[in-house]
Amino acid sequence: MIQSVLVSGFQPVTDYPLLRFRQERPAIVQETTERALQAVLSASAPEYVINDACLQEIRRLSESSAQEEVRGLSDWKRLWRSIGGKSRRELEHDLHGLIGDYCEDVAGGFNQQVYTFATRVVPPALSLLLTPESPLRLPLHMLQPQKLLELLAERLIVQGPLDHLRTLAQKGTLVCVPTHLSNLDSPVMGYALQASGLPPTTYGAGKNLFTNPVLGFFMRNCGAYRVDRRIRHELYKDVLKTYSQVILERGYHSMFFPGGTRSRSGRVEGRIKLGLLGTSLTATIEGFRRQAGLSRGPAVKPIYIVPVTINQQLVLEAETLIADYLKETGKARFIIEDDESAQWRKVVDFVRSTMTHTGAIVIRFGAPMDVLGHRVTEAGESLGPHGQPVELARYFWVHGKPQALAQRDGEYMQQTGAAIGRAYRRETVLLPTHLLASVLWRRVCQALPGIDLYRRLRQPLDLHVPHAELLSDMERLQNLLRHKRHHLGPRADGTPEQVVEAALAAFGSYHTEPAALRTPSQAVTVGDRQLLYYYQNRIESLGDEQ
Amino acid sequence: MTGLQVAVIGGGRWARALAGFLLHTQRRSPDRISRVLHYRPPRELLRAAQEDTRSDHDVAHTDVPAAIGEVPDVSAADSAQQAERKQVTAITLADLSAAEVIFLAVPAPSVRKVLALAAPYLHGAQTLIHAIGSVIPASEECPHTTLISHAIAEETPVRKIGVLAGPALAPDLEEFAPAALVCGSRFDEVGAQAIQVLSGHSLLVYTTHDLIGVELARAGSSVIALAAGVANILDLGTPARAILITRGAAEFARIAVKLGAEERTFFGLAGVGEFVAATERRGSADFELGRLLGQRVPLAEALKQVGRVCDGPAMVREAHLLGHKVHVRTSIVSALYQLLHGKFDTKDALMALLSTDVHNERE
Repeated sequence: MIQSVLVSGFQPVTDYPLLRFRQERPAIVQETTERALQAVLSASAPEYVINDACLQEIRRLSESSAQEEVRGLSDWKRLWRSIGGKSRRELEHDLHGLIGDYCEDVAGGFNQQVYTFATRVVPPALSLLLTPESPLRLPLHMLQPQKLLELLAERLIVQGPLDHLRTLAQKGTLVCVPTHLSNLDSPVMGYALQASGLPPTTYGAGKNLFTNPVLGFFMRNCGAYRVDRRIRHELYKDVLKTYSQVILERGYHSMFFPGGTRSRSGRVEGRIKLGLLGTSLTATIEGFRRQAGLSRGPAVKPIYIVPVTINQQLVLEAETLIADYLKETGKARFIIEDDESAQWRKVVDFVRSTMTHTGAIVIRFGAPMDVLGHRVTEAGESLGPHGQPVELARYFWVHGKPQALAQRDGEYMQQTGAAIGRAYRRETVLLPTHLLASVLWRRVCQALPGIDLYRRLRQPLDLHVPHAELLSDMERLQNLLRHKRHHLGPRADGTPEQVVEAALAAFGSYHTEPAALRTPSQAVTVGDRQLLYYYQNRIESLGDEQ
Repeated sequence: MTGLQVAVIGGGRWARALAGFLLHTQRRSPDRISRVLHYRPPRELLRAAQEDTRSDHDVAHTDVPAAIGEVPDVSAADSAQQAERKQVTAITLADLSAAEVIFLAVPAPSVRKVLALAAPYLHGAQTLIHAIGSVIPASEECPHTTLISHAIAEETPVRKIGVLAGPALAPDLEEFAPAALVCGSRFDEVGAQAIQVLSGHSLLVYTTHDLIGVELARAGSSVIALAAGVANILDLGTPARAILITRGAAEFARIAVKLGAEERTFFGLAGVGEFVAATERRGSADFELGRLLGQRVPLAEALKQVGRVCDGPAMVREAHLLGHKVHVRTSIVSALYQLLHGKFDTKDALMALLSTDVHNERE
């Protein structure tokens, strides 16, 4: 059932929902606006909603400079002062306008030409530019895009029940939920979907990513919608949720990073952030209500959740992320505006390093599930714990009729989140860098016993692990991981010697100071301990119990 | 309000008392309960499950089979209920699919088997509330101690799971004596349904989201009842009982908090509330077992003499293991564990039960 693919094996899909997006965009914006307004007004009066939005935005914009804001500071102030003198009707009109502007700002775009260019031309071009062999020295036949794609496919490996997913993509709407380590994850996912014959998805991307003109151009035209994480008020969150629900109901395949943000510590996400993912549940219930004639609208296709792990031997932003994690542990995290992904030099170095190593990135799709975490057959049928078919609609019954219930659905979503967390642990693929980091980190802990993490990272330490000891440690770890049925990536499954070599080569190829390096005496010594800690966290977090 | 179809699974005294109680409510308020169904699992099933478990473990279980469905009705006052009980619709498994709320009260070792049989007829719209005072011991198929609620989620498609605990023994339900239950469930809906079908007459129903807490408190009561039986035969009086109740609650709270429960639950109706009822001489099999053990009757013999389902011995073992696993101190449980294994004389056990080297009450 699980299959590894080479890019050349599949015809890319030619018919997919996003092709309709340009046409439908105005209707989507309008529907989102109307429904968000309805939802907001059913819960509260317009003056409170506007008041809250104004106050939060005034505070935020007074403290930081405005960047492509929907409304400027003075607009917010004017709106806020005017609340008292307005009738309910006028306020509703203002709210309608505000929601409309937000929807317009959030809604993404899709351009088939740009998408085709981004997925068919860019990857071979990148591999050509960044292959360690200079393009001039490559034999002529290697310059064919096909050959270059094959080369790329060796570097970025896609695994999973792909036939099953392709079948379901025809029957229903896919919601991909990948683990999140890097800003490169969304392009990587875009590539993985295309390479395995799956349709492109729409996804939410932080507004800060759109400020880069090149990246912004591609994202705007490849189905991304904009999420401004600096805006904290409820109204904006309601707009986002409604937008996400509307596009799911309309059958657009979607992608959410349920960790909410990049994993700062390098751990596999254990706590799943349920915000937008919850819209897959509300959209499903809306579908059942339409089916039962309780709500009007076109039929909603079934929604399938697909957990995906993105496993990288090196992480572009590792140094910044782990530093941020250590600084901010226990506190609210700030949004990093300027990290390695904003520095072209670093990105180029990183991509070059990736292109040098076989299996540098492994994208592994897990088994698809329904919105409640049940396994799903090829026919799209939900299965209970012992493989018996279950009728999904019944889980939403209230006196025999499907209905949304906030508390119940929140609890259901928690359970789905837990199921996704378990899938992540099952489907994580470990690569040589993770293994070497884990072995060395254990040595660091032994050398500096009984102290907390922060001191362990800073206390002077001169640790050399002799080659033979390192190999036996490595073998022990490999056997333990195999025994626990974790997946070892293509080069992590070799002899201990090969794994160590692969990891040292990878570490040495990108980071400012490698996490580990070889000494002249053939021992291995510890370099950047923060990075070591970061990469070993991947393995450590697999043991996290719910 | 729309009347709910309610089913009871189980053939023991408590299950029958509950079915009778529900029928009583149905008579008086059809808008709350439209129908009461009662499924009694076949005795072979319960017997087989019981024997399986016994062969796996050194701590013997009771001689249950004879007891299932055969408990002599102690109280004479329940003749009215007996008459009503006859009108409870006895059903087959397939009829379970019609029920909206299902109560499960079968011996812990047979839970998985009963659930596996019922699973094909259960579905996602249903609520399943159990009232089982034990956990499922680790076995070859499943290497972990399993909470009943987890077993329900593993064996059936049901997601809306609840648990009942509290001072409401079978005689209380039979006689409509004032009693109270807590329904623990992650779902508000389940709590609301429990109130709809149970609350009223003589029964108070409270709700909490702390499912695990209520489950473990319920399971803890059989251990405390056992300890109280030992204390009772040695004529220790009320203060000893008070110590067992409060320190027992603290002990189970320590374990349960590590498993995600809330401490408060153990000092409410599900914990202390049920412990007070369980340490009284009335009706509890584990209490009687404790009295026999206190008289130095060997465990196997004592179990035979009691002749009813005793959750105590298995729970002592599981609580002992759990405490060890989550690294918490368990003094009452450990003393009973030693006693059950014949490593302690009654007197030593008693000393251990009522002694401590920790003097901070919050620890």
